[in-house]
Amino acid sequence: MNPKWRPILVLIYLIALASIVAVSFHQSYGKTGDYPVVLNPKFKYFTKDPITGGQKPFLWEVTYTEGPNDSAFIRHDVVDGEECLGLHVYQDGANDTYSWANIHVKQALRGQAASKFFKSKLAVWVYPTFSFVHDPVSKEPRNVFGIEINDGKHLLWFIFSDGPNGSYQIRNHRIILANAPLNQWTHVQIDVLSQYRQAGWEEPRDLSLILISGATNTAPGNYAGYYRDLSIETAPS
Amino acid sequence: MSSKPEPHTSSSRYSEFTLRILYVFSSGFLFYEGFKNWLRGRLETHPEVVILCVITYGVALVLLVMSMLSFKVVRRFKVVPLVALLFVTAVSIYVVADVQYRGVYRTDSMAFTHYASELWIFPSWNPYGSDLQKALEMFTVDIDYITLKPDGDLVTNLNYPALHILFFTPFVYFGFQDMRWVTFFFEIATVLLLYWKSPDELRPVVLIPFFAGSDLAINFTAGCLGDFLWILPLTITAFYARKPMIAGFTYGLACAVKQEPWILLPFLVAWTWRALGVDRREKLAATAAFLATAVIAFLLPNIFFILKNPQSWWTDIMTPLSGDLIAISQGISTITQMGIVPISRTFYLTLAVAVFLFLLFTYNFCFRELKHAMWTFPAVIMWFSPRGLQNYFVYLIPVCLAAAVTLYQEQRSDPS
Repeated sequence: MNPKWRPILVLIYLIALASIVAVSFHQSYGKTGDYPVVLNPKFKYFTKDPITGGQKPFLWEVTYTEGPNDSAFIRHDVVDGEECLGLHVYQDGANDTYSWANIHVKQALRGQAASKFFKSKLAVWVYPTFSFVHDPVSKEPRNVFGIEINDGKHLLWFIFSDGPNGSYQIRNHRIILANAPLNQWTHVQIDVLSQYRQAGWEEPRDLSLILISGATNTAPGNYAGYYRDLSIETAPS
Repeated sequence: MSSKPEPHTSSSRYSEFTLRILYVFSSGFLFYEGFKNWLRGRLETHPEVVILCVITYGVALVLLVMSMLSFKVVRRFKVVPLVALLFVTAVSIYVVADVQYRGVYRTDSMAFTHYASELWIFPSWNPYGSDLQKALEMFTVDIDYITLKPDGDLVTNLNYPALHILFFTPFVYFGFQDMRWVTFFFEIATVLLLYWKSPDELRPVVLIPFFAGSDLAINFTAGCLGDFLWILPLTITAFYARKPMIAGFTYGLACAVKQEPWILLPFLVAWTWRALGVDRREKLAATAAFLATAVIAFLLPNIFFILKNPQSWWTDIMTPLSGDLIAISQGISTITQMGIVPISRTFYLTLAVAVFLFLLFTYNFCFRELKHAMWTFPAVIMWFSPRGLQNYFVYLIPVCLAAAVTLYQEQRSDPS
């Protein structure tokens, strides 16, 4: 190559590289969609829970409400050949301090994560094993297997059971019934934002995403429900 | 009768001085690590650490005293600082790994490679394409060092080439419980290689950068980073760059352990083409020899797994490059992690590729000036990438030391 062309070639090359970087910067600026909304959505790696002494999926918090003779635990299960998170509750029906025996498996979403969560749809595979029951008069739930969104002011329950789809509201507690046949895996999709809008609630800055299973003392018995492969389907920004 | 004193040339005075410096440096390193072990070693419940601390301080004092003795004594025992440095490294790795971390694995990578090395010999089981999450529980991996994907899922696949697990396999077979010690063997070998390959006058100083901080020598090995598995062969590559068969073979081995040395390929090819041989035919022969041996060394440990399931093998080893890992870095992308500049990971990937292309171009354009700088390029490129972690930078120090020694020898034989 003619040596007098070399500086020009270098210049063209550098300009081309700088242009690519500049275009990439322009296209990527303001898009910080990389950080996950929900951590460990496949419930991998069961670690020791220093609070309960039991096991919990890494990065999730677990709380139990149970009377002296109730029992509640979570574990890594395999159901219909699928690895999953199992929530197991036994409600003895006694009139304990708390009427519920239940399990919350939760993760707090704050700031940007909460905002991203509201712009997205939550999808999860569920395996319910019992029908939803509520009080015929007050419509207060007597058992639950589903997902709770708790922003500190409002409660939103998505209940997965074999009943028909529907929704109703008791004070600050909105309940969405989503049909999922018993004893089989069903992929469900949840639009939290539309439910908030229908309820007339403001989008919160922080919230807890909770997998919930349990029963009140009016519905004693053994309850089990399973979750796997939770995912957040983010709308393109 | 008094013996005639040796004439003191400037060079011999310098040798004496550097050797004394090595004694003082080693003593200082032992004091530092002795104190750290005294603090973190749970002495009240670990009497063996008490003994090790006493020995460490004792050796540190001996080195300090020896540094001030006559040159005859200093020179006679010149290997003592090296032995002392290796001794305290082993002690500190023991204290950090077994006492401070209580034997648990700190990184998921070591858990996965250990687990895979235990099981791949069963004919029906292929570590590539398998979910290795069981390893996290088996080795109670530290939760701070779990790798996440952008969707929040945990990385639970084997994302290294196969030599990483094959190096562990014989040790697992013979009942080794902790693969950190295997990595430590590779570390010792790297140190000894640097020492052995350095000319006598460089030996007192060549190891100082290696032990200048505890991360490279101690903390990362104790913290379950397996990078010495590829650093040892790559250090050999740096020493034998003028012998394309050896350089190619060891480079291929390094690439068969981890992906970071892959970055060096075009630079090494450029180096071989431009630095070796006189005419075109010789250059072609050298480059072909380098590439052929590199490919053979890379494929040998991997071929079994490639034949088993090529797609799984390819998908898994490409995990770090496909960008399916969360951005975490001590590099430039820190400004995004900390919320200062909101920008997506794609930009940093583009930036890293642009830096790579820039360096490749500049390397060929200014070959004379940058000839030996190529060994540092993986660190520079990774610093601009979304995942530029401390180990991607500091582990290149032994390789750079090897290159510096080679450069010194080249200049000594040809001062022009």
